[in-house]
Amino acid sequence: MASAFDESVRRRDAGAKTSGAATYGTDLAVAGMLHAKVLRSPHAHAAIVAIDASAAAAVPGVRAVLTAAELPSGILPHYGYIVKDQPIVAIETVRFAGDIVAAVAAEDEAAAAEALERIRVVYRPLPAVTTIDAALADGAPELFPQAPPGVVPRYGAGARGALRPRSNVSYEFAYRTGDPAAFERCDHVFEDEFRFSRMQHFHLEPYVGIASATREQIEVWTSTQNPFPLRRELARMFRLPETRVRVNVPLVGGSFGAKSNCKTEPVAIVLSLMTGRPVRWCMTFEESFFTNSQHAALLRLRTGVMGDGRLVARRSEIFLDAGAYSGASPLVAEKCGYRIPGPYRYDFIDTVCSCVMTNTTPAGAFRGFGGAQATWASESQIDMIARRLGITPYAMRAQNLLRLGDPFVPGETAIDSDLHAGLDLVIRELGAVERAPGRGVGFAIGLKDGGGINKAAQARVKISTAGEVTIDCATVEAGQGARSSLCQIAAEVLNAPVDRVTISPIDTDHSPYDHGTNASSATVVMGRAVLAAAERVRDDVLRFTATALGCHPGELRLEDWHAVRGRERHSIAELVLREFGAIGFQFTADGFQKAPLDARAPLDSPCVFWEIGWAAVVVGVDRGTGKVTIEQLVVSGDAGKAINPLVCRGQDEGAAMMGVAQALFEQMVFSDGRLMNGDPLVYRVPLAEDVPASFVSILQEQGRGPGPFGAKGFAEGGILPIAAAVANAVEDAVGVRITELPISPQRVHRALSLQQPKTVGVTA
Amino acid sequence: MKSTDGGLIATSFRTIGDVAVIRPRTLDDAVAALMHHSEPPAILAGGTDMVARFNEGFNPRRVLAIAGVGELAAIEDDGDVLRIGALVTHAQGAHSDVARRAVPGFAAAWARIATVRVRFTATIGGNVMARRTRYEMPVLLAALGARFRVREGGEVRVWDAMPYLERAAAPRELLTHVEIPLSGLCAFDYERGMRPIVTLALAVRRTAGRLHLRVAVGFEAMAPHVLEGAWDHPADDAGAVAERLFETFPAGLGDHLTSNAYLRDVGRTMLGRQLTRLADGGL
Amino acid sequence: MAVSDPIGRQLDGEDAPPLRFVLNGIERAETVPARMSLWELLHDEFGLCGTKLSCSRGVCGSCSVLIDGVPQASCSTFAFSVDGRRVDTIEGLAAAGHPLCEAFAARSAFQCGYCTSGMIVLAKALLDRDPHPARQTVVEWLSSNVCRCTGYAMIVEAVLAAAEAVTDG
Repeated sequence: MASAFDESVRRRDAGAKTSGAATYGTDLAVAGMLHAKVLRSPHAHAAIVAIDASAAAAVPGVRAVLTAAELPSGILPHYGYIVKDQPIVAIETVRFAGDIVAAVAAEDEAAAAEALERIRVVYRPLPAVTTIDAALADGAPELFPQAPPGVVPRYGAGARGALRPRSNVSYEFAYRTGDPAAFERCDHVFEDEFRFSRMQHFHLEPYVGIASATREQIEVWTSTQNPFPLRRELARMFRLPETRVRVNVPLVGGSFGAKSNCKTEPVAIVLSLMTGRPVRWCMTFEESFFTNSQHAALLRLRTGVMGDGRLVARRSEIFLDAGAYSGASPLVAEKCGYRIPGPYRYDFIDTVCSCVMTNTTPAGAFRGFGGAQATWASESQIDMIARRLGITPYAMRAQNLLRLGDPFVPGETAIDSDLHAGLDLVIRELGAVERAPGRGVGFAIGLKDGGGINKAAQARVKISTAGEVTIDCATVEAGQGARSSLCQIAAEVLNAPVDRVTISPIDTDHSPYDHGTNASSATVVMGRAVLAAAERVRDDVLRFTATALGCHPGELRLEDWHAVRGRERHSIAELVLREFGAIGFQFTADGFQKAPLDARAPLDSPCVFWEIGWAAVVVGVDRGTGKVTIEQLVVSGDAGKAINPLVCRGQDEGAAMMGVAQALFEQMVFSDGRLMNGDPLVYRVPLAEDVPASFVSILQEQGRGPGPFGAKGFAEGGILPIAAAVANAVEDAVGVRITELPISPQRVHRALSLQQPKTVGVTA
Repeated sequence: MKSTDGGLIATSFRTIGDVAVIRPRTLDDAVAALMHHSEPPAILAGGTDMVARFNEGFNPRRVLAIAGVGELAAIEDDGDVLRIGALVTHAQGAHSDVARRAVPGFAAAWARIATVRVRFTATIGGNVMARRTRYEMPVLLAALGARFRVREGGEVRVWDAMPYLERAAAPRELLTHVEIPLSGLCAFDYERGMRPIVTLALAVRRTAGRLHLRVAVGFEAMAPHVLEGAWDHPADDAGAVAERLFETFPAGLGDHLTSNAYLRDVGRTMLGRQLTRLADGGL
Repeated sequence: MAVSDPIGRQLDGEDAPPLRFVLNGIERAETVPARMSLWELLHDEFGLCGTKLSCSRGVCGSCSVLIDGVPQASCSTFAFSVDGRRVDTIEGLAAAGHPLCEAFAARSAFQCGYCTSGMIVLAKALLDRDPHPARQTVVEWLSSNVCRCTGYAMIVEAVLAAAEAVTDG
């Protein structure tokens, strides 16, 4: 029997997704459901003076009209991960263009839209702050005159958080370790500023949810990554026991972090309460641009080094553009701040990362989760410092890279990938690069703590009379192949063919508990839960079989639902039928996984593993236009042990192309709070023709992962190093340093025109 | 999104009301339908743009489906003019032997606009009538000095390219043909490698032994801008010619993302390269 | 509907002729409101959910179907415009066992799967016209549709592999 990890093993969802049979949230329908649509603010910041929705209800087919005045009494209408500041519908104030002002449920979407057209709103525009700088300026208008409630998480050594440290900053994360005097002994201190752009997730499946709610219970079918956290948030808001809220999750058509916490659900729930019927709200694609986005950032790095290139100290001041509502921003601030040192040794680290509120689309979890922002700044500055010192970027990294077994910072999990080996690997793959005018080489290493912090995962594995295996777990399939990989893990433990393992649909009443599908955690954290459950059920089966055969379980081996004892091969199915009768039986066992709490770890629990992204790139810069073309891109990640190599390759390449887009052209463009390119024709995402002429992803299996069989998570590493690698290559090519994304033709062209003549920069 | 008194609404194909569909077989019937109703019907050719209009709140009561009007589907060269019916799709135009022979470089450029899939369905008339700055035919046609033949009721009017493109759409008007004057037209080049930031369409005509250049600069968010000048080839250096043409590039032309200085600089560089390419190709 | 009616009338209603077309090889006659998109017809009336609605602007291609063998965005197509024509969806291609479906499945040329139906339909149109496409041609064609998950390289490879399978018979 082939190994469960053989490359020929197909994803469990392959058949459905290549035949049109796969079911997503957009395909679901509940009998009697109404259709919702919302009215959104045209202003970036305004007071709602008056809403007259009286004409809306008169439209035929309309069953409910919701404004702040109609919010049910007794509910808590604000949500957010840490800071509860986002209302179900705007209450007195709209804080970004696109903020929800009213909602309608009707028999069809056309009636709902017509009703919305009849709603009159009087706005009093308020001064808006639409950039980080504007929001932090003295005297800037305050988005939240009254600080919304929030709870600072518990941190460990060296880390702290603060709510609302100042105006327009909803949360601040800080971390410090080492001796502050370290700066004094540095030969040089370099201070540089970087700007990171904002992209939209652009998941092809729009936000969609169906809610069926009464005052006693709520059921939702929704496209979300985190069913149990969503359950908890909805239970809190609607004042129900968690167990009276059920969240069902089908296949998700792409998320990349977008579909976390409340999106369509609160509006749909309230409309359902008002009408007594299920309500579906499927946003249009354009509405995604009004719902969630990646964090733009301003990063100021002050780095002290010795003359020979040794890194000593880094003080970082980071500002994330959180948009109008906090959402997951405090968590992103934690991680961006935590990851800013990169994969290097420092004697002193001092970081503050703030969530700056602006009158723009809220920003939230986005692949990389602060790591892309941190890597952009840090890996750019490493090259800049190297060149200033007359050292090659390679030598600078080689000297400072953390080694296997080094703690990232005191109290944190040790580095579990050979960082230097990975760098050598991608550079070697690049091969000999022929020098030519405008051509340059650059590389970068991105690192993020993976597996989540203090994440708990439970799984159940069940085996039927005939040996069909079912996994119950709440890991969401959003494209990353996690549910399929979990089947492979179970198959391997049970020595069963992979196609005999299925994974049951997710609903929070029946699926075992899980903290959510994020942080590249599914293979490792849920994987270990599945592994434990599979081992437990295997042992149960062997014990049962041993009793039936009158031998010791240790003499038996499980193989393809047979018990092998020396030369004998016994059908377990037959033994089951003999023992339990014609109805048969089903074996079942549970597994659990969670990293321990540890106050010595800055984030209160050491990370599960390190997710690394290495990239090496060759660019061609057209001096006449400033256009940067990626001629060759090599990316690599360390999967530890690749459960499904093709899945790993797809994750790496997909993430890398997101990084390419961020580096070169993709961004949400705001002008005075108005989004200029929020539509599918104008918002440019990578197409097949944007893939570099030479694009190679190398799958490393260094074997040190804590996941099943040595696996590590493998979902986000690819996006981290790309932008910095490209910027580094551009400097190598034409001697200009771009510190703001995207590295657009105009930026390069302008830098070239300002360039002082100098010698061509050093190369690897 | 649709803007209303209350704010923004995400309208779509699913929110439009009932429509009546008129399917004329002749141009006269189509034009009559446009004149007849108090609310003129929405003209539907390939449909690739109409869905965008639905997303913007357009909600017509009647749709004029003109795909069956054969008179608008031909490409003809009468010696003076390449006449392209408004219903010609990009794919048809790109593969048209008539077009290829009439204007060197034009069919090849037509074959590269939009995407393969869109080219099968979208029409030249729809592309022009939509007046969207991101659509490419207006840039190509402006350089070619194209004229737009329109019908409004019984009246025929022929517009020069830029005046037509710069005026607002007239709802009872139907673009019937695009006409490219062929006199002296000896080369056409379309550079779209810098799209969406800037594109350059260049048409070269030879009159009385002199080369005349017409350049249309296409932008992300602005209507195309046309530059004209002479090219004393081969005496004139390509770079100097490009510089001369771009001297007239307006000072105010630019947007929130792309500065005027950059557009002028890059446009000049791109034009110089195009001229060099044409010269090397044996102009 | 032999006579053109310049004044206009509803396509639906008592005197409206039904829409006649061939759907995945089967002749259909349906009375549909004129305002209905082809996507809505396929999804709501025929329960064919494999064609996905995403950008609703004809840009991403997730909703692609074949109309007389030509790939077209069903989100931007009026249902009435397929009268007298042949429509093929992903379900038809899969039922017929097209090698593209197998190639995408075997090579994991998908992740979330939302663009996959459109990509397969588009690729089929390519292979129908060019059974041995060069890689550059495949890239040019696939640039008609958006995928956010895969980074495209694995999709290109699946199409090239399927081309070989088609011609190998």
